[in-house]
Amino acid sequence: MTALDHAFGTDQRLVGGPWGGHHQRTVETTGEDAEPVARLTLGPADEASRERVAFEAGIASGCRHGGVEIRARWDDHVEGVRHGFTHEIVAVHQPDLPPVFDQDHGDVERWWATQCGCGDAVDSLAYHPTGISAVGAVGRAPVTRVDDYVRAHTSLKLMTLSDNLSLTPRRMRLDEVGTHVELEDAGVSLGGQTILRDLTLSVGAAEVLGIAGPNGSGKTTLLRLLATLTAPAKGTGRVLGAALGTPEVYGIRREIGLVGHIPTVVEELTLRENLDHATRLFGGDTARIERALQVVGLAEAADRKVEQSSYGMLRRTEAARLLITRPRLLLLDEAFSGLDVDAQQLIDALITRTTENGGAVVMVSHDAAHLAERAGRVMAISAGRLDLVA
Amino acid sequence: MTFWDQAIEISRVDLRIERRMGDVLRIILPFAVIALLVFPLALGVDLSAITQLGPAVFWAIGVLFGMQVALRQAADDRPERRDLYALLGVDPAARFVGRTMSGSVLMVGFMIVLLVATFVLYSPRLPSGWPGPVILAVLLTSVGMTELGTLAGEVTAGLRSRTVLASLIVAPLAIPLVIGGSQTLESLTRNTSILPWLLLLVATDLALAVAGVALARPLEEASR
Repeated sequence: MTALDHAFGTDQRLVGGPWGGHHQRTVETTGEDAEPVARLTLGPADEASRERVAFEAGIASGCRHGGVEIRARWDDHVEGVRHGFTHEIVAVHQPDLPPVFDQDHGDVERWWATQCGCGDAVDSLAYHPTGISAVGAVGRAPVTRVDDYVRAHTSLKLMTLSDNLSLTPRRMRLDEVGTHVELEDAGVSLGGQTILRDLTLSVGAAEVLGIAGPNGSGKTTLLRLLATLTAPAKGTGRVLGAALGTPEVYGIRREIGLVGHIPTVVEELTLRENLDHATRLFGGDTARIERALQVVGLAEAADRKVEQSSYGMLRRTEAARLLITRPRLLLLDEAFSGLDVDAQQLIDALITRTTENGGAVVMVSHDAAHLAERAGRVMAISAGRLDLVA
Repeated sequence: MTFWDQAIEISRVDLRIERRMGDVLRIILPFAVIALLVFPLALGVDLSAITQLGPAVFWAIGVLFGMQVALRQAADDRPERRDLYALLGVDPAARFVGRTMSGSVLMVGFMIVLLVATFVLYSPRLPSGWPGPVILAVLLTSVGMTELGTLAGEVTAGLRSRTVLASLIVAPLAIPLVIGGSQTLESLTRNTSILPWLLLLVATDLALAVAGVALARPLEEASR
């Protein structure tokens, strides 16, 4: 049971079509008596995030069984760039109705403005015997420029009110609505030789895409294209809203995490110094370094120099860096090869974390079966061309 | 993180690496001092000639070995590290400035030690009041050499034989710096104005700084 399952007290199960591709899917939310209380059909852009599905199904059903009442308006218009508006949706449940509210809409709006700092953004209120819930959109931003699109995101803050009315976040940021990667007939040439050709690809929020192919098929070049480190020679593409091959990409590179063939570390530094260096350059919180080292199991070995460290340790250092930089697009190039089970689980956790936060993951490997275990969709690349496998 | 925060962080780590590896202190500097020693041996026991040639040998050795100091970062600059910096959001211009800062510290130290060694080995005759102008000239030349080396490293990034190519770029472009530095010493000896030569050094440093900052992004993108 996921955190949101628990929060909503509902049981979601998937019925209907496949997750990937261009099919729609249906999510059925059931209550205690196993009777469907809501059906929600999600479009192709909303890929493979079970928690997100839970959230949306929860919105549709009102989550009445968990005592949490949620109503939300989900306004996504195709206008300008992609989405006309993005919302940060805040759902709050007050189990015991305090006297101050007195079921007065104005009181609740004032409380909302005070507690959430979100002014006039109450979208809906619900009163029921066990309490009151309020849902509103905060940080609503019209999207008129690519930069806005890149910055804007949709997230969920599910909070409960404690007795003293202070808000306690139970879950922060669920998802971003949108397509993280789009390629349209893109091709890449290196040294006059065509490496990738006619690539059309779309990777949505919370999606894990696997790309399998033999050595020399163009996997690494494709990842470099998606990492904005290589520009398309033909066709077009957007990554996190930025057009490939244009200066727009400079602004979104910080949100991309690339784990390449060779662990990227400064060889003359220790593992801890490497993490510190990357964190400082990124502008991250250096106080999180120790915690990150503990999480990846390097707390004891952090003062080893790179030359004294194993391949797995270097991969763990990269994982620690990604824990701090929290990329929205995670690109993995044979990231599991040569790793022990623990380290593989760490990479798995990074994938899960990225998708849980609304990010997307693209992983390439020569091992299609290995990809199928982890990816919602697997494509094959051969001689620079992509085909859907599963 | 601001531009200067990034530049300072890159400079800090570069100096830490030098402290740990000692490329300049343990390898380039001793060889440069040995090269200074070789010249008097080749010239024989003509002490007046040795005294007269001292400043020229200092600049020749300074430029030749200084090039190694200036280009040492380029030799270590792996493509993966450049990609990492790009994905961490490091401004290429900040990287240029940071590397120039750390490189200048090392180059100034290198040139000062070389200057002291020149005085010990050659006993050049200089007028009173020389330390200020000479140290200023050494400082400006060192900064210019480092900027040139960093820029050459960026121009040749991603190319095979980049170290050799970078040296070929640095050597001719270092001529204004060599002329400025050596003529400052010469003017001091002749008791003529050193201002034109110091201005030449300042102008060269500024031009290289502007070029380095302005070209940092295009060169980085072109190197991939």
